Amino acid sequence: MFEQDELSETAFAAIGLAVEPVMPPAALRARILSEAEPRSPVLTQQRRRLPWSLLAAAMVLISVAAFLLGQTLHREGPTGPIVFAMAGHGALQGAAAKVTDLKADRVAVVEFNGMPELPPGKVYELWLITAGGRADAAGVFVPDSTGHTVVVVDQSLEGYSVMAVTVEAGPSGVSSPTQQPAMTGNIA
Amino acid sequence: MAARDTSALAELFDRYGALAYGVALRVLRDPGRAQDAVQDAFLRLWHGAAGFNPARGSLRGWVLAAVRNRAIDLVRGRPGREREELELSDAFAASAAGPEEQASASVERAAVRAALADLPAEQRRAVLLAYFGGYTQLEIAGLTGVPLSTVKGRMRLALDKLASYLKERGVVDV
Repeated sequence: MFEQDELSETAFAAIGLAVEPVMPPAALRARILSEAEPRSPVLTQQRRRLPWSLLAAAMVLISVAAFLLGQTLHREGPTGPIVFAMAGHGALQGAAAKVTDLKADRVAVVEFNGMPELPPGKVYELWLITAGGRADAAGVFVPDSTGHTVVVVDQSLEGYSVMAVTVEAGPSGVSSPTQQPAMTGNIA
Repeated sequence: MAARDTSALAELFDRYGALAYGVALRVLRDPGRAQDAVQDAFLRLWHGAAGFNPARGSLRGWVLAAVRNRAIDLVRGRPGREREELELSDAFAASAAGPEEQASASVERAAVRAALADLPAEQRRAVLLAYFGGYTQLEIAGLTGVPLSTVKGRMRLALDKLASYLKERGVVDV
């Protein structure tokens, strides 16, 4: 439409924020969900709390895959996305994960690869660990048959220094880890 | 699995649907067409047709852009005269930054409205015609009866001022 530098482009986009939100009819919501359902992307992901996480994961993966893949550690500005790596060891040797912290959205996307198949009744549980050693549960998940899955952590990673994974009792996991993590990564 | 996925979509809609619908209504002024625009945009987002790049902005900005673009597609199908009458109302100039608005609206909304209100009328009109009417600069020149170069200058000045104003208030990360 017209030439703009990045800031002007952002300012142009911000004009929409001047609009008063208007609650759409409930029928519109139902119609959108109905239309989406038949062609929903399939993701093998489970979390204790699942707000818009699956959608975010699907959307992010589509175009951010290139951003994630091939990069081991990529940093941007203070509010831009930051990518961290997690590596498996012990029982999870060879498994890996890439954590994209979408700071502006207070969301992190974690893409796992090479995760071993779980024993019956078990789930993987994701933990956020503070520098003081407190572990907060960030969701449970079961990878697909190829060992791949995506988990969206619907909270800011601020204040945490380590992300970790343990194997816990399913389907809901536990409130505190029962074993030493078999996958960890520094996120601070 | 499908049910779980669509519950996630429902969350996204619950989070941004009202803003999206508000923008679509502002562009189209027709609830039926605004609903069509929102539906099309969310389904396009859902099916990945409008790829999200986190390096270029927030999810909210992405949703907002998708809905606005779809609404503009629809409004461009209208006769020019109708679009002109709709968009030249310049509603934000009248409602911007009043004390009640400052008190009741979100900080961001108030900041953007105040920034728009702070612009000279001709600059404000140009950016609102572009954003909510989807008019090109050439079309705006025709609508407002000024040379294209003048429109370009007004747009540039307006966006620079908006950017500075919003940056100072931390509202640039749409």
